[in-house]
Amino acid sequence: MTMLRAERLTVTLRGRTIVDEANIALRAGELTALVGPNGAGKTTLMRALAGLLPTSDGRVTLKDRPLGDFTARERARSIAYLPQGHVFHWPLDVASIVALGRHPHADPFSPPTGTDRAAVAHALAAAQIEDLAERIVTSLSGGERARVALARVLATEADLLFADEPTASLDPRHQLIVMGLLRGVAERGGAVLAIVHDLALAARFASRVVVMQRGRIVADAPPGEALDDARLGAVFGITARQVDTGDAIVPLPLLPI
Amino acid sequence: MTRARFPDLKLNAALAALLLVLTFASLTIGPAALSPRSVIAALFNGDGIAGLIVREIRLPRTLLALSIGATLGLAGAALQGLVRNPLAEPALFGAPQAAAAAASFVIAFGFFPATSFAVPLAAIVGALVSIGGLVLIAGRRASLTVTLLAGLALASFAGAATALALNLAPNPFAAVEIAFWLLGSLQDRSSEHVYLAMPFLLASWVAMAMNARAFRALTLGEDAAISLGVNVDAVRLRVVAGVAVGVGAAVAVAGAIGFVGLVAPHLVRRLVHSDPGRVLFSGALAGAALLLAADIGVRLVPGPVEIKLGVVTALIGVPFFLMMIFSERRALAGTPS
Repeated sequence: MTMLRAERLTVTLRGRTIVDEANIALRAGELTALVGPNGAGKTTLMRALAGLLPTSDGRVTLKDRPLGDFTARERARSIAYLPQGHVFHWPLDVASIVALGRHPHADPFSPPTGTDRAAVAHALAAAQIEDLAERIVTSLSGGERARVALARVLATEADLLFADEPTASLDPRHQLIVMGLLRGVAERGGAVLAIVHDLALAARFASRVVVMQRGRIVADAPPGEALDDARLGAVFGITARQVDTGDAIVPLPLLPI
Repeated sequence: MTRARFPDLKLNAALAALLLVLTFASLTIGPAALSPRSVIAALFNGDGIAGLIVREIRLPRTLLALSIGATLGLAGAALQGLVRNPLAEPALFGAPQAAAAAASFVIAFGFFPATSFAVPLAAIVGALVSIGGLVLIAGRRASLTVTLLAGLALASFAGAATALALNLAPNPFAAVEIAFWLLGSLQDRSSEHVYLAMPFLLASWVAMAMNARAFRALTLGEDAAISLGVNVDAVRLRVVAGVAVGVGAAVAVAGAIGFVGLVAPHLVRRLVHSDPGRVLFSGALAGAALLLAADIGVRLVPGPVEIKLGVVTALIGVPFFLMMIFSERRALAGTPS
């Protein structure tokens, strides 16, 4: 089932076209990796799909309804968005941070409901950070913070989950944990879109890879097809060795062209 | 998630008790020696000289100290919630200075009497220009470096405008009156001043306090807050308007009083577990307590001239600010955005 669909989506910022007529469909049960060189427009496309940016042209529909027709609160219940960098401006405890994911469901004048508490507990368990619940988030390591940030978006229990470089600056173990969590969300029926720079992670975990170059989507296919040698050369300017890991064919970058 | 219905009940009850004690002290302390018992009697049936002193002189002064202190504490906490940094404070962004400049122009040229609504309105417009300009210049990213530089420029400009008003003041009386706006004091305030400021202060409290949940969501940054359904533009507008109206009205009746907005939230922040929403109410109570304590303090210092309240808050506030910068040096040198 298609959760979110964009047709000829164009975003122009200060006279520059950042996203140029992008067509993309995000389906339930799929983890889609969005890859491309720096400056290709990946973050802008993701923010436009999440309804955080005004679009210049084209249309985005969420469950067959124009995204613009949703109130901010309705949209926030359907689309959870994890920005780059895992920023926490105040030294709150982990449980309070994760509880922020319930914001779109909460009534400003009532304490958290049983459903809210269950969702937070579930998110903490899924991200395996129950033992960190009382800790101050700013005192945690990068890998722990990444899992807290992810638990926060999980707690929203939205149908769509967008993550912008969720594995950036994480050690290999945490990269695998985070990608595994995202795939778990897709396997439970969610639609996940993740911007990933590590092509090997994209190839191993995503069911589909969308490749962007200079604002345009140049490929939208299963990993093996989207990340073949010809495309890696044309889009990323690299040569790669395709390695069979048993569960996937994974590109290992070798040299810049 | 273990947040109870009233999470800071103990802290806020303690602050409220402190406010009660300070209020009584403020009503009791002054040049005319009145016993605590006669103060209570005078407060409830204001006959004679004691009634006049307590109800017409000390009560308005106390009420203004409480409400202006609360406003400044809340304004600091609200600005800090918006720009997501504990070093934000209206005085660092030139808000009281701009309000004082605008008010002094109105007073210097004697367009209106000092207790007309024109004075707070001018002060509010001045504060609005400075805070609005600041938020506009700082932009969406709200990097502290840009914010502070913009605040420095705005504060300097407001200072120059005040100097211009002094320069052009038609007579020495006007010049002396402008000097008052710069120092800040609650001496010789009357109930008229209370009525003048209160509507604006109350409106500013509502505008600032209704952002508690949004400030909490802003912990994750602006994009994440918007994705959670927060209308960040509306929050920004409410904070700018709230701070400007509150600080403007405060300056209009008490002159420029700085640094309460920095110190008060800082004192309670740890006790509310750094929650940028919960710090609003406790920070307002702490601000009220601080300013009232300072105002009692200036009355207790012996000498022919009363030390001005704004001078005291700056003397306490600036070293405090330096201390905060010192302790946050490493974080500040890192990534300010």
